Amino acid sequence: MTQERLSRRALLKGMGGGMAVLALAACASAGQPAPVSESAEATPAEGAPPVAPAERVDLVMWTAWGGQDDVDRVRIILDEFQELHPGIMVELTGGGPGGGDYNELLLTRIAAGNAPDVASLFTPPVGFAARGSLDVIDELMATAEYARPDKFWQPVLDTCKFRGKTYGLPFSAASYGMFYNVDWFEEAGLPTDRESFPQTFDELRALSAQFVAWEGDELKTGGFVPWSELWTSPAWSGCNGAQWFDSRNEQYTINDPGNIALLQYWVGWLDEQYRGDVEYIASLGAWHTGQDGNWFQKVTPLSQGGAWNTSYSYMKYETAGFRWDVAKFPVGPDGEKSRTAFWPNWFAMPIGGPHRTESFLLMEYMCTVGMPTWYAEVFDTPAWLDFPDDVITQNLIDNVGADKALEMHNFFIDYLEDAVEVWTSPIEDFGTDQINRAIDQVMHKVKTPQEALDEAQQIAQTRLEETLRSL
Amino acid sequence: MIEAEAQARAGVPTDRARLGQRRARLLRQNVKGYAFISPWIIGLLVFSAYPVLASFYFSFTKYTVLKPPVWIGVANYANMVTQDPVYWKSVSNTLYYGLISVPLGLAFSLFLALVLNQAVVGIGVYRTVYYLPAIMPPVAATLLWMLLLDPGNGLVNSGLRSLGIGRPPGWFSEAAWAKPALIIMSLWGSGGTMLIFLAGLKDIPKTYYEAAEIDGASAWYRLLNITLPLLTPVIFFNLIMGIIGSFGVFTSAYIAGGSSSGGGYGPGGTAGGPLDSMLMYMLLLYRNAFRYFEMGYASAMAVTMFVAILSLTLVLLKTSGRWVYYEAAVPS
Repeated sequence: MTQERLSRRALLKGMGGGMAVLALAACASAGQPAPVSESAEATPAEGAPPVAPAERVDLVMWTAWGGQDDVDRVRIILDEFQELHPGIMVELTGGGPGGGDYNELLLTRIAAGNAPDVASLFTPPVGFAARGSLDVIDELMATAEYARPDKFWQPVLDTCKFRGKTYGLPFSAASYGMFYNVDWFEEAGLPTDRESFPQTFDELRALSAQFVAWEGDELKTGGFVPWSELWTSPAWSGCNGAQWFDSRNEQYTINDPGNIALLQYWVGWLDEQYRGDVEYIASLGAWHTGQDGNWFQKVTPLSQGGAWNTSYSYMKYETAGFRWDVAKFPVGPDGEKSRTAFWPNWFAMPIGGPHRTESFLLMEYMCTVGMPTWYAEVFDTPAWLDFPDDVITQNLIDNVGADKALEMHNFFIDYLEDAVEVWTSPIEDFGTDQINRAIDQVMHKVKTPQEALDEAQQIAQTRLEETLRSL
Repeated sequence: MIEAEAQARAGVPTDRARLGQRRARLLRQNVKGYAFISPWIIGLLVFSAYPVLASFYFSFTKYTVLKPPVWIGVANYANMVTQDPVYWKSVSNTLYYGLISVPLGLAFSLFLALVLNQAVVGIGVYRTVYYLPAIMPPVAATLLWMLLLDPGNGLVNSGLRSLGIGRPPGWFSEAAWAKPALIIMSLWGSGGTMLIFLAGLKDIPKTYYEAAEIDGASAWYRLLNITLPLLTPVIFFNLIMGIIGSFGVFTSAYIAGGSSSGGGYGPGGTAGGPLDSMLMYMLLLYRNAFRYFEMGYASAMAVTMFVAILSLTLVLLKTSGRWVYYEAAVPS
């Protein structure tokens, strides 16, 4: 076998050429999204005037939504935006380029200086903002056509603020509520109208007890399990006259007497109705309003969830096999009124983008005028106060009928008026983990409410102060 | 010196010149080799060596990724061992997992290898079937096992109920059963280790077994006195790899811990399960890095883990002479 000699020069030439091609490929691919769904560059709408290259501005937008339906919905909003602003071209990437953890991707892109111009967030902007990674938009909001500071629900806009400055816009602010099985209530001879739903913790606990049925060691049907969805805990805390975090004073209030009393009450509930066995109750499956949850599977007639749950296709009366309704959270012994919380989605502009004005226009459109397009299909309670009154989520109408849909729409929007402060801590995730860990320990009876919440308070407040000092 | 000058005048190359020529010749001979391995060398330096060194540096800083690192000395290490409420929990979880899953995994893999080392019809098919789970994506494997171990309707608990066990374990929803569930899951992916054992078994000369059989040694005796001693290098290798793997357990805990109801922390993915029973070291590291923006602290955790694994490996290497039998090393 003869071996063809490769001259050193030829080899080095080849290597050099290869490296150059690789480098060019790398440069070309930098910042380009992997093909997630159809994240092709937006083209000007049909009939729009052609744009001279000099006038054209190219923006990159990421959305945390990665599902095809969600990306398609955003695509439609972008097309509308494109018609209004033919000079702004938007390249959309759903779920972040190449998949993976969205926050991780965004964080590293911001750190590397090649972040998108606009990004949606599933976690509050304050955490990113406090660390100086998002653009301050107050002066842009002051002259904005739609996104003026007074045009948003203040508690929701507060989730975008840190020390008086605004770092993003809320896209939605879906509030939470109690869900109940109307048919089951009827069978049990209970009133099914919303006004008759339990108004206090004690009333709800008594109602829950009616549905708890044990057969030997086995729970056949359950009542309400208040600790099952810890993301709703700010609402429960508010209903008992407390809160977890006070942004005005930059202070955690985890061991507030109202919170201690709340957990004490839950432990009593666990003992009274569920034999004190939190793990057995957890092993019976999820107690939320999801399709795989015990409420939907008719193990319990009582649950809690977000407004968005109402517009899922499985919630259609016919599909579910029962009629259902929503009500407010009950008021605790230390509380004064029913409070809800909310889970927004946000948009923000990573710092250092070259097209601030255009990026803001896009973000503003997404969170205001463009929002109804999203809302038409997903019941994500809007955060924008000028949201048109006549837009009702079609999926909700399909699920429960036009009259009931309007009623629910108003219920969740009005309930936002009574929302507690939430999502405002610069160490939101850390604080939430401490709170949830404390609740977990209390429900497992590893610690008393006082001990667990004192410890969580000390840890969270220490970390908060450390973080604020380091900013 | 004088001799060298004389040589130079005479046109005879000096020793130094000869050395230079030899080096140049060697370089000419090797340049292609270096050129061909350069992508790997560059990749190693840029994507492995630099990040390792950088994370060592970051471990002494307050670093949020979003702002330049600030030197804080050993504060991250001090906080880790004295302040962090869940650090030692994550260490104990990981040790528990490692101490049980590694020996159990080795025993299970060896058992499978012994079974699949038999000369029966269709053994290739069996080997393939047993190896397949090892190449299944960890996320998919975890989701599959979560279905199997579902406390209510899972296949495992249905089977246990049919055996008369009235209230089978809650698996991921029970603090006491969460880690055993992860360990059971890990056994399912023993195909890789099994394959290495199988290769080791194939390497043992048949003559030993024949001689032992002639001497009347039972199967059990042959296993203890021939198979296991001659497999010790393979056991040693798998032990080291198993320990490294057990320290790095992440995906299964991340998925199962994040979705466990009741004891979980709800949405967020890095919950750690009831009473932090599935809060593994890597999960806490990830949580600090990407959920709390504490990259400096996470780097300190990574460095600590590196030191722990390195120390453990060195101890094992040091003690391996007592129990690992290398045929070639035995003096005749």
